[in-house]
Amino acid sequence: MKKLLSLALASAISQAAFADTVAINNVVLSKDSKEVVNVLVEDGNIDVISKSAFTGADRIIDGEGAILTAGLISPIGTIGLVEVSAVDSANHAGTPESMGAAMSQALNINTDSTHIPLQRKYGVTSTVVSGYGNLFSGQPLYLALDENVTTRNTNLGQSASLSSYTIESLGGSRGAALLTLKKALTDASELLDNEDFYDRESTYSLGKAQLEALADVVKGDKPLAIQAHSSQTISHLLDIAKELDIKLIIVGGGEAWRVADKLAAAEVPVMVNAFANVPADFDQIGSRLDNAALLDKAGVSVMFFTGEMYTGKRLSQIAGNAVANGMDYDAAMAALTVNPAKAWNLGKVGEVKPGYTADLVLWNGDPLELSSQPTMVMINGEIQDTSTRSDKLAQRYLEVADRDRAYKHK
Amino acid sequence: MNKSFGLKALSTALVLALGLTGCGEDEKKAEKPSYINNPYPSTYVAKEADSVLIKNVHVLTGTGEYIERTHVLLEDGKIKAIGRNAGKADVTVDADGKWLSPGIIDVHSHMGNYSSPGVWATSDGNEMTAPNTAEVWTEHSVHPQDPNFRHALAAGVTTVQILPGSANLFGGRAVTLKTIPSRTIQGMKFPDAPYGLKMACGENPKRVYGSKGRAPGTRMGNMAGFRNAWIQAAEYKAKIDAGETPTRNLELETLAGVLAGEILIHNHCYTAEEMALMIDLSKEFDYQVTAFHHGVESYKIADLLAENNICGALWADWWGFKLEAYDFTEANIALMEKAGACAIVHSDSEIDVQRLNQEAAKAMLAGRQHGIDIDDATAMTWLTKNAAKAIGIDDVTGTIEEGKNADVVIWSHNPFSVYAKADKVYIDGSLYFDREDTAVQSRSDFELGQPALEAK
Repeated sequence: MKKLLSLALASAISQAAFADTVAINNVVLSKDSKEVVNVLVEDGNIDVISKSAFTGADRIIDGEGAILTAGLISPIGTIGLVEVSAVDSANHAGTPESMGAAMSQALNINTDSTHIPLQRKYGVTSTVVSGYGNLFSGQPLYLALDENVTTRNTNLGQSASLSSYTIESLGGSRGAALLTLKKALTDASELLDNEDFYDRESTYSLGKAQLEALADVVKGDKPLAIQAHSSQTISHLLDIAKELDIKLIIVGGGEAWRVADKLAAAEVPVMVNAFANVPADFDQIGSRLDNAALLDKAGVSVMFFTGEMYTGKRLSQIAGNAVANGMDYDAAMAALTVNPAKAWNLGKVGEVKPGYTADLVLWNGDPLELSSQPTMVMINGEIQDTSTRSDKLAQRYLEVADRDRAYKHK
Repeated sequence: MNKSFGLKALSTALVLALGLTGCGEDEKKAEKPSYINNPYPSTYVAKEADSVLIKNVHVLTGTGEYIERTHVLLEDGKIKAIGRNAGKADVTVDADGKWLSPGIIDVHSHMGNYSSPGVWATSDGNEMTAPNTAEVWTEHSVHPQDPNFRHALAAGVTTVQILPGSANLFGGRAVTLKTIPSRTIQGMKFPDAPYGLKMACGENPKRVYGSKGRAPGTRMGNMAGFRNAWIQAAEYKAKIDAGETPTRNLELETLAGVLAGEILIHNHCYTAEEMALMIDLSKEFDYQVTAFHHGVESYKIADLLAENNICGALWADWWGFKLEAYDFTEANIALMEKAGACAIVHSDSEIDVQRLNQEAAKAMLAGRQHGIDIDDATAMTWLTKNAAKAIGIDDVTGTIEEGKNADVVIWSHNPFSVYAKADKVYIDGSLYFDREDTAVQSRSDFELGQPALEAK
């Protein structure tokens, strides 16, 4: 109901007490903005944004003119699947080939992972989780990175790969891999029309469960996020997507800038690692630092991903590097927030607007700058604890003179 | 024991020691004892260059100091003068409030020995065929046309140490290179830089060899392997020192070079307890560990590292990829600095070598989170002076001081900003990279004529 209140009315109601409300007063919504606003959060959502301060909320935070942004969204990664990569029993990112497209990460997440607070600490408030490497790695999951690690969506679409690694594992032929992908997608379509007649031996390329898991993708309801770097692979994928009328997201896209216009025309978003400028393999000879800038200029929706775990800081660092290499600043911020929300159809997240989920981050400086960090992280309207195991280890060993420190119980 | 990092001092000490035996034959040997034999010498010669006066530039000297808006004169390949009265030059560059630092030094790189593209044919970084391969020299694996060298140069990196991989207890000799275009490795070799020897503790050696059913298969097996090798090396060295001429043995030559203080130990090691054991091992066999690399747990023993004059070559935020990298704190580097230990930011990556300044900035932020305020001037030592010290070239480069090699970067912004880019990079006073001038940008032979580097 309060969503409907105009800004003019907002000040009139600001003196009233709200149930379970948090006011974040005196903030700006972007780096160069001079317009001070006040944000009222109620029941986990952004309720009102007003020019006058809220005084009657249950909790009032004075932003002191700092930047408030939507929480950053990591658009793909293995957070919660991998605690220690090289420890088999602590690495659950691998999707059995037999399961492939039918894999769901919902039962796979370790909500106790110590990686999660290290994302939250740097303002990454939600993440898309996916396996990787197989032709199909299953349905990605959307997680809020709050203290309870709330699942927001168990099936965002499908994660796939035509990286040179995957192509090699499929026998080494890019053409064959593309045809295998296309056959699986057309089979999934066909199965939708002939559900009672599944007979893999005679007709279908994949098991029934896998084809059924691709149904939302082939109906065009959910995106197929596919890892690919070569401009030629990307171009072929765009053709296939057009022919089959499916939504595509390109992940990696080292050479995506070479087909930027075609990507823009097809309205296919691209997730890039803006550090990638080396010819890591023959699919990435054209990788360059201004990939994100060139894609954005061509009208492609860009997102950033880090590829490895690190900390949440690396996500905003990558965006900062994209800006240093020519990307528009606001476009880089959108790449961290609203673009993943739209690409994956995540709902009302990624923007600071009334009615949107209150995933909000207050910063002590430019969010992309290396010296900056959040001073407050809010997820689902709740202010989060941002302490980490990394911080606890630092505290334990802060004083080197204390030689018994390893045995303290905190 | 007081071992220096400088090659010259050590060679002199060796000559003196051997000189005690007296006769002409021995003196000849003393000039070239087998363990300092270098049949693949540097052919690098600094290019003749115009003198350059860089005006109005904020200088992070790498010595721990900051000089606001001053002038720096580069002449005859050296830093000739610093200050507003630095003098005149053939070329004047008005930096107009930009920043200047020493050339960045990465002490842990695999450029060239794992060239891009990363395929089997370019995988030459680790001789994983025996736990002790001290006999290999990584310079024999380095491909000078690796495109990553030019990317590193464009990021302000002027000097790199290329190390063999970490599967072995002793991985082989490291080599220090300038990040310049060259047809040959010899043409990139940093003149008179001492050799390094890669050692590795922990999971890698025990995994690689244990899985082959041979030693080492445990951490105690690692230690036994180290000790047995040093016993043999000590015997070999004793023979040479006594004037004998044992049959040449490449493995023992390198190890003896370490015991002579001439080859510097670069020890891949993650955990606190293993680093402490490696320190005792170095005392057992009387050598100096120059640097522990990766040292995710360095912060736990920062005092020990400081006491033993051992540098920690560290990452800002790499962790969790194996169990020995699990007790991670972002404040590792800051805690080393706080303890007075020699902290270095290293990359081990063709991607992160291009932003070591940013990695340092993240380490500064982590320090601030725990009340450790590290200023820009101090953080710059992690990338320059301390790194130069660890690879034994701090007498000639790594700082903006009169008489040092003119290895210099002009940055577009404060180098610890995410927006900073290296605008101009000088090596020995020659402009090797200029962001504004494609004539001073290089492409490797591999990249030349590649359609993928052009727009479609």
